Amino acid sequence: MKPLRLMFMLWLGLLFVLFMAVPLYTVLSRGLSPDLIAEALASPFYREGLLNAFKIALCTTALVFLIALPPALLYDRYEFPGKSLVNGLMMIPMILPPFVGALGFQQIFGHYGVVNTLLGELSLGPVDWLGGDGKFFAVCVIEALHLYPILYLNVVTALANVEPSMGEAAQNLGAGRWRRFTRITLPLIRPGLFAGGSIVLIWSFTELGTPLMLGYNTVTTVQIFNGITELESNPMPYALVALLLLLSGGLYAASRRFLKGEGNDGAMLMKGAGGRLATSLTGLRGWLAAGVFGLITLAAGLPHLALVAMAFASDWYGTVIPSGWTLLHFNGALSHEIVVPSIVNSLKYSSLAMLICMATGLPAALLLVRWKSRWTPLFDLMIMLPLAVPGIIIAFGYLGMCARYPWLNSLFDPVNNPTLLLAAAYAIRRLPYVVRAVCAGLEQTPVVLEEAARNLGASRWVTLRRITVPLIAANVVVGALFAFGFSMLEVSDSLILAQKAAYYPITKAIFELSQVLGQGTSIACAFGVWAMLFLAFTLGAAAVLLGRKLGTLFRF
Amino acid sequence: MWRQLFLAFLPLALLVAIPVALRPGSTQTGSGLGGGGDRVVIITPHSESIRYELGRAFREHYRKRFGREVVVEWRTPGGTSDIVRFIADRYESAFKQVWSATPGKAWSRDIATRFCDPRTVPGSNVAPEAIAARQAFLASDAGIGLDLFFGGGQYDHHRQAEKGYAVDAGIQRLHPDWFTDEVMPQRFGGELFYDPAGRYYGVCLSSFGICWNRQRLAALSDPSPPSGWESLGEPRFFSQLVIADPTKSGSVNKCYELMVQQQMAAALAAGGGLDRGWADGMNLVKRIAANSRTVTDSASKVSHETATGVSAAGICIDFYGRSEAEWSDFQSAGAHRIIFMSPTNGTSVSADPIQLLRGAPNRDVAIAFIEFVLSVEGQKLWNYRVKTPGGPRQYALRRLPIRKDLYLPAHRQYMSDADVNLYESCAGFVYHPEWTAKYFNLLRVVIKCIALDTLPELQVAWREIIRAGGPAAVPRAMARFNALPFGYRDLEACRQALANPSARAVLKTQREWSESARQAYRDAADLARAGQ
Repeated sequence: MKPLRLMFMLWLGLLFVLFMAVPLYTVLSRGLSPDLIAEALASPFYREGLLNAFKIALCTTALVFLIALPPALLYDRYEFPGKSLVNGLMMIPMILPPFVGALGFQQIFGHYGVVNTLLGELSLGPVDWLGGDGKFFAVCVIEALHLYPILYLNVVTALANVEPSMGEAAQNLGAGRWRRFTRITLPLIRPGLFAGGSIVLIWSFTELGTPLMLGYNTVTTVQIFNGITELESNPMPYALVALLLLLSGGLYAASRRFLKGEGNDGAMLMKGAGGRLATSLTGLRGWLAAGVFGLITLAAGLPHLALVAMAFASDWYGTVIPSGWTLLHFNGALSHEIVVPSIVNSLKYSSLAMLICMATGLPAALLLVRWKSRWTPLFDLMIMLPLAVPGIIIAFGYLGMCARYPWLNSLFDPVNNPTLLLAAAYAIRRLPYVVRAVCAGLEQTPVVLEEAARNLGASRWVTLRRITVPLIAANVVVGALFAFGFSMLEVSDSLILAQKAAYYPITKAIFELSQVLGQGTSIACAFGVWAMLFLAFTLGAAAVLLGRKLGTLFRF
Repeated sequence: MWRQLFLAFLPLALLVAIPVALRPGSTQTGSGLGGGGDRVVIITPHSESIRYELGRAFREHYRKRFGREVVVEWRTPGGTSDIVRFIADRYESAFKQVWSATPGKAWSRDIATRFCDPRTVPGSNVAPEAIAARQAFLASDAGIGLDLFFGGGQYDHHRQAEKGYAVDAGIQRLHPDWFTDEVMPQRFGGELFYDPAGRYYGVCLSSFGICWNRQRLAALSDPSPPSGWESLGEPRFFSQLVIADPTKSGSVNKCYELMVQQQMAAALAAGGGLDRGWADGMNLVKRIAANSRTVTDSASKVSHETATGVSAAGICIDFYGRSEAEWSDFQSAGAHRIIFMSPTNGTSVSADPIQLLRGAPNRDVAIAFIEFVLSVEGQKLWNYRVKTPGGPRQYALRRLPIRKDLYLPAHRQYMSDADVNLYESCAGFVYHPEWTAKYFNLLRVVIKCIALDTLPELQVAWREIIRAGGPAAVPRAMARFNALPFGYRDLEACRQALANPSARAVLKTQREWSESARQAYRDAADLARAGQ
């Protein structure tokens, strides 16, 4: 095996051992045993939790496909008014901060929220949208509206890589639109479907925040959270984590088979060979196309709008819009001494995490797609594993491993300077996004182009730098955006590992501000709006800097 | 290119400039972001408002008293449960290093369990080496880099002290005049306010009460305000309440314990026994859980949910209720959307403590901090209004001082809650530790098993009973609904069962309690549908 590949496999293994295996072992070794797993499976309460987690994952993934696929196809096929704008707005869920996002939902759907107030004006009774039997569907809808950008971006990128002449040839042979879609387009974009779909499936299976926020407690992740935060020692969470890991692995394998198929020979994916001109939609049809994007964005952006209004509202209770406006909350939030350091810290941790993700993710993707070996399935599972483990478990694991192994404590010191540990924690949890995005790009890039370069005398490094990376640049950018954006909004690691105010990232600062008695939620909303704008402007800055290249990156 | 850079970064620069321009000067800080000088490291679940005010005030006090600067370094790894776990992990690691460095001593799983167990005493059925380890730990100065544990409830501080993680801070010797019945009684209403051995000191008082939303309440079939804990178990509150999970918070569990104690006292007064009172108390807890719309993981969310109308009423700790009511009144220009009240003779007064940790690296400064929070100067911060002389600068903390001398007219004139004196209003409730203190942990486990893990079935059963006309209309259904997995006289056996070293055995026992309750609720629902 090539020495460089071997070195990289060792590096990946070391990263995984240090930042996944050891912390997991530290936590699980407290009480995991076959007896406990048997007890968990014997308990109807925990069985129901696993079943509900599975149902949420399937339902959410199906909803994400329904939400993300049509606009992705519209974006690829047609030109219409406001196309670039609505495309950018589709990323809105990525910038919704945690904790206060939940407050936005309650403001819209609460008993005296906007929707019930409107119903009251129509003499209709209030509806408990977020309670009772509707909680399951509320969880699925909210998660789907949060996760669809992952599938959308991956599918748009995959569609951009499809050689249009295939579809044209099928059309010339008389294939109708639906037949072309199912027999040509879908198989060719399978890598993108898999890249996004697998992440959505695993994420929704292991998601904690949404069911916790809605009080939907009979689901495994909330049962783990409740168990681990109990005052008395309760070993059941560790058994549930083990079951969650096992089942996540199974779900991933199933999604790989169903979404990715047996293999992808990347036939006819000749980047640069020619382009399809998008069809211009004019008049009403054009506005309808933009309307699809607008509708999705509106549904996904409602909590953002509510959050902004709450941050400026002096009072918002039983009215459709706030009854008064104020800058008091912004003053209370942005003048707080923990805010400026938290911004600097978040930028530091997220940028470091993004760099670690890119430096590790690109070679990891090459390992999975180009440098295949008998260890490839193991590395694939290993890279996806961080998605399957609840963040709070890993966070406790980091603390535990530093307490148990003094040499690790001297290296990472989570108490006195958690910078490296936080960056690594963010990176390991964002690595799956980067790897999946880059893998999708590699699978759609025919290897013959690289072979041709090698035949002409280019070294492996030159081939990588001059041929491969430019062809997958869009996928790399997408991965980097995910890594940076989601790191900025990371919750579990931030709450547990940043114990000193000097090291608080933004999410911890929002949480601390929300705990201030009385005004806490309002000032947390204000800082949440600031964080939202900051992330939006950062992503916007990246878009401006890439400029036209961003558009061409997503084409050829 | 410059234009591109300018367009890209101008919005960002403007956005970042706002908090930079608004940030406070160095004299106004309270969160220990500065460096240099003396230092005290405090681990706490207290909110940012408390940390800010006490940190700022202590820095000023320290400067005046010692002529030096001090940094107050707050550590916030999470709630009380996270802190308790964090401290335990750190002491195990710290003492392991000490023990392993001793010639001829080897670390083992048994020693890891026993060194912090207060039952590891000479004469107990424990290996001699474990006893030696325990004694070595209690004699050692093994530290974890923390000086103080502040807040979290008397129960957890007492357990930490018993384990040996906390040590005598010597405040009673430094200020014997503070520890008198006229200033700071050791016990009140059956509750312990400070440890006789000086291992923790209560610094402020808490009680429990009910908060309700006036508008939501007015929409109920019976709009009368709840008068006590029993009101919350009435059918009119079905799917209207917000409660906190007792397994997450010692304070919340304390509240349920007080409910049960009130029922036990009532049963005794009526000629019944503690058995009857225990059953009445547990069934009240069940009905309240059955009436809940939300079970939150955090006690602070209860008052917020009630104030915003998500729920009609909830059980909350006094200062959460008062703070939320104050803020709601401010927002609504005095509309009094949320009301907080403590049930008459329904709550005891408990103290929120502070303790000096073993091996504190800044012991002298830590003791100075404890002295400060127990002094009149420190006590003013808890309930004085903002910007009153000696009061907080930015946040009204709305907690009640532990020192009785703060309730004199000279101080009351500056207090937010001048009309509240828990030493008077809660004098009618006597807490009997001999009834339930030993079963504090068992109580939260039982509530989890029969009310929280079985919540869907519990709520279906209660809903069917209400639909059938209420408890009186379907006595057989109600009898099944009220079935408990064990009675008061079985508590000791159940406590022992939970102390079984086999985790699987413990979980199996809990599962059996849950299954028994779940079946009872299903039967109750069927009987109610059948009109029985």
